[in-house]
Amino acid sequence: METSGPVTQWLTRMREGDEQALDRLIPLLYEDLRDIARAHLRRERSAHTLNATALVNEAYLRLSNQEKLLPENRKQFFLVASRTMRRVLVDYARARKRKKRGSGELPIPLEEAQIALSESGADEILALDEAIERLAQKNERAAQMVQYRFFGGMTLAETAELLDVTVKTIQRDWLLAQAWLRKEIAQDMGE
Amino acid sequence: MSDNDWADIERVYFQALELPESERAAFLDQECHDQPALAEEVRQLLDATGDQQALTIESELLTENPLPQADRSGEEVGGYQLEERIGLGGMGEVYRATRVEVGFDKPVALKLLRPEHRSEETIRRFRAERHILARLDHPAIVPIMDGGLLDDGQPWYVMPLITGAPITEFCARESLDIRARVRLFLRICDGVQYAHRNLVVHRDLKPSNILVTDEGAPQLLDFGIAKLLERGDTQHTLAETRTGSWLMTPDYAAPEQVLEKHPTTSVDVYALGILLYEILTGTNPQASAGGPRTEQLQRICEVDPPLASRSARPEDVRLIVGDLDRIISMALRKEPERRYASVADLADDLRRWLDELPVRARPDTLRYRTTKFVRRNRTAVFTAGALLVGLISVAAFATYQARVIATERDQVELERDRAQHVVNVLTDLFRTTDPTLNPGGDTLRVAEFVEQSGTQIMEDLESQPLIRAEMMHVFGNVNRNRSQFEEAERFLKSALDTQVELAGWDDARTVRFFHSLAVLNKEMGRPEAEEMLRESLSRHEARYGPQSLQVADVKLDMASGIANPAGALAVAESGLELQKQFAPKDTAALAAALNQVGIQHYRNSNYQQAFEHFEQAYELAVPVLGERNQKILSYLGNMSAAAGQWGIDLDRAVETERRILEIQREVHGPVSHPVATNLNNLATYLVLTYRIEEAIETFLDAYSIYRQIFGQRHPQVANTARNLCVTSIILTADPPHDLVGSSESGWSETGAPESGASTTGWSGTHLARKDAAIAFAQAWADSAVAASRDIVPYGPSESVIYEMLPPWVRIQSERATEAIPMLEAVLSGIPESDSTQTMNRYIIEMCLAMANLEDGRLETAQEFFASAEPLAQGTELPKPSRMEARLGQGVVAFERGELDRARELLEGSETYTDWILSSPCLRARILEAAKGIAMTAGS
Repeated sequence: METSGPVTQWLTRMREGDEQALDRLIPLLYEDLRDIARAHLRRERSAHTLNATALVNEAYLRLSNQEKLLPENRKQFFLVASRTMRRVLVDYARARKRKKRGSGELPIPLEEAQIALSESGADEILALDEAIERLAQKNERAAQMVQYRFFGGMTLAETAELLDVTVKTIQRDWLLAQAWLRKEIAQDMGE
Repeated sequence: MSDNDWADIERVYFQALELPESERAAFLDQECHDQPALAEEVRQLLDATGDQQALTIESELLTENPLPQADRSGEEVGGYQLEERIGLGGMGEVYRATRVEVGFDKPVALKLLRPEHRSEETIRRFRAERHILARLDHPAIVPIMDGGLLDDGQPWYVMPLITGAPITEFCARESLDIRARVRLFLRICDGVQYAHRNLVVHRDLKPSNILVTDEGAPQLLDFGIAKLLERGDTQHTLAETRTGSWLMTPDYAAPEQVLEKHPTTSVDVYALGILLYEILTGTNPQASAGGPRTEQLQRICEVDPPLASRSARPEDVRLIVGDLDRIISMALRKEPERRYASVADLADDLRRWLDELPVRARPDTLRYRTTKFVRRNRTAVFTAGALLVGLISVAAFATYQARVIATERDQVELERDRAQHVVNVLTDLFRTTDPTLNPGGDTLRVAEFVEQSGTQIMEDLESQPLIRAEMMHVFGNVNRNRSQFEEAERFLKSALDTQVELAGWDDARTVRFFHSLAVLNKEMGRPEAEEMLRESLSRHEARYGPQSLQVADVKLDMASGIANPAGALAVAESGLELQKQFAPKDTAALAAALNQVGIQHYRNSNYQQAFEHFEQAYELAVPVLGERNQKILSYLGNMSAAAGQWGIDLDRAVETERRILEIQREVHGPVSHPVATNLNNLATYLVLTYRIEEAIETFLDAYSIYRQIFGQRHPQVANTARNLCVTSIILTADPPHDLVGSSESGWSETGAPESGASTTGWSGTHLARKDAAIAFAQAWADSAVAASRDIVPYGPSESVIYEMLPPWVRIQSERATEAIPMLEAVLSGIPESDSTQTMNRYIIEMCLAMANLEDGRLETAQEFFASAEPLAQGTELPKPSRMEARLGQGVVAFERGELDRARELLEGSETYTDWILSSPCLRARILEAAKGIAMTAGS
């Protein structure tokens, strides 16, 4: 059998239904994604957005250089990557807010958080993070989809593939979920 | 969050969504009559549905870019063993592979196109195309060796594995000069041209598709592949493109590709234009600056990129300005039919450029402009014109003169600091690193010494924070004198912080440190400087009393940082009075004070008084300081500046500036603030003595130094850009008759010896030259506006002078119609009551008059000339300038056929127009009218 690294092993266990796997995988990917994000920001000083697609793609390539990823684990990888990316971005947003309040230590250098997120973007990310949690209680699949779209940089077609539904269904789900998030976030930020 | 069930929400929402908007409210009332909360939530959802701008993160995070496929390394495809995935992009994946068959062990590159592209149509086209592509045989084109379709229809093809760098990286790595880059680019053109002859369009030319081998041979990849990726159906629309079904990078896409028109060879011409821009400047002019992709696509279709010379590295500007700018612009025209008709034409023009022949690329309106120009010059006489340009130069001039002396004052202060210093020994050590105190010393080695020992000493003094702060203050000021502003700021801020914390604001040193920081801000051109300087003044007054030597120093320092020239003069004069009162015997300080007052007179256009003050300063200080002293040189320079404003002894001024320049280079090094300032002064005198080409070269040198020291946005950078703009417009005029011969010969010999190429932008016929000059002026006008925005320290009156540049250039280049609304906008921004802006108001009204005259609106032109005339009397302009408005009215009268009135108004025009500088278009009109009148008188 091919050598399979820790990520692959956990991805396999996740596919087999191990509920702890996700929690173990996120820290494994977190540093990677954050490093990649930093490198991107350094390279493209002018960029003021984090390109989630590029980051996730690069993480995927990096990982597949380190260990042999099984094709059947691909879905799990993108699920974990978008979940992790969500955490990276939420941390950026928090760092940025903390910086505004002027408190002490930060996990991420200020200037990076500043470049990465627009002012309103930071507030919205935090609101989005909470809204996704609420959405998950109402409709798990819709919440998954939102996470893929926002934090995994995935297209509707790819989201459909990962969730095993038709593109038509996803388009319909997306229309409603997007409206729902806009409404929720607007209410959150209005408060 | 509401408690409504998701399934209910979904059902009602989609039902309502299908109804016309007008019926939805009624439907919700009826459908959810017992569930008002549900009705409310769905109503909100429907509102949010259409709101495209609802969230920032939607545009920042959502994407339609595809994800990478699973790695297929180790698998076999069409008889090739996939070894390693070496690339991954929107179009597909690339593997290093080898032929399975024995005996073929040379690695190849195998591309797998994305599976989305499987369709009957794609497959059919792929088969057809492959034959065409296989026929391409050219050294610059990487051939397709093999190819086919997987069982599921996914296309793949094989080509030789090229080891090379993308062309952009190659050019940077090898540090190719501009001409070498153009030659390399021409080899790419050859390949593309060959493919076009074989009816293959690339459609996706970009650096990652153009590799250069270590031997320097360019290799074009993926010819014709883009076409394969096109969808079979023709249904896809702009909207779809914008949401990203389009896989190619828009960074090199032509407008017609964005608009999804049928692509022809013109898209390759466009992409080559972008590529040439990028390899010459290092910048892609249409790369996304972040933000939604739709914005980028819209920009591609609507906005012209800046001229390449504006994005170029300073040392390359001279080579790119003019012909290369025009060649690139012609390749990048929005409408394909107005571009080069073929890659061959583009390449041909580049070859002409290499051979220093006139290029064919022309700005749009040339034919129109040429005819007009020729018509007008049938009657041209080489006398002279009035003086709009002169005005702009004058205003520009005061700024940099003011700055020279600011530096001088700081040095005086620095010396005094040292005398009082607790750490005299250390300080003396560091004095050797100050270029102004140790001229001719090995400043480079010394600078290194400061940096290394500085850190060491900072550490040693850790336990004595106050002494450490003193040292930091010294370091800060030394660095300021070395134009190392960031370093200086770091030291001064740190010194001040420590001082405030340990000694409080009452301590004398704290106040002094704060003042140093304020002066630094002034030197850096920061807008907050004036505020800081005023604060420094009130702190000094509070501590030492308003009548004190310390306050005198502060006042003399701050004058050049005060926006209002009259206010600045008052402050400087009061500083001089205090200086005389408290330290009448300190000759050097008194001279510096006199000089400062002279500068403020200069800013207020009182040139004669300015001259007298400079002269006093010089006479007073020479016996003490000697002829070769820095300050003496700058007093001399100021004397010639003031004298130069009146056209007195300009040749001597040139010589003086050259002498000063030589010494400044020795003392400060070639890339330093004082050298740039002198270059700027020298260039101004060169303009005044009509050595225009030399002046432009000199301004460019100054500009390049300022850019290196200050970055892009700084008053000095803006000022020099303005001078470049104004000077190049002078080139559009016919030279005064007595200078024709010398100017023409000087012109053709002007070159850039160090680059090994002449500035071809300036060569060629007079017409081409005029064109180049206008394009050049336009570019510098824009650049001056950009560099000055929000940072000009002298307030609104100064910024007007920048804003009027772009319309002014348009008036000179037959685009008066565009200029009028721009000028009106600037004029409306000047408050009627602001008497400090009389000069600006005069300039703008004159511009409006000229624009309307050019535009054929004689009535309006007359009104503006008439209202400008009394304004000129309120300024300190030389008389020929003040006559300008009157002469303009004479032109209007002539055009209307009111010959008697015209004769009266234009009487003696030859006296006033015998002036070197001019607004060329008005001068030409005056000459025309004067000649016309003379002819009618004769008949």
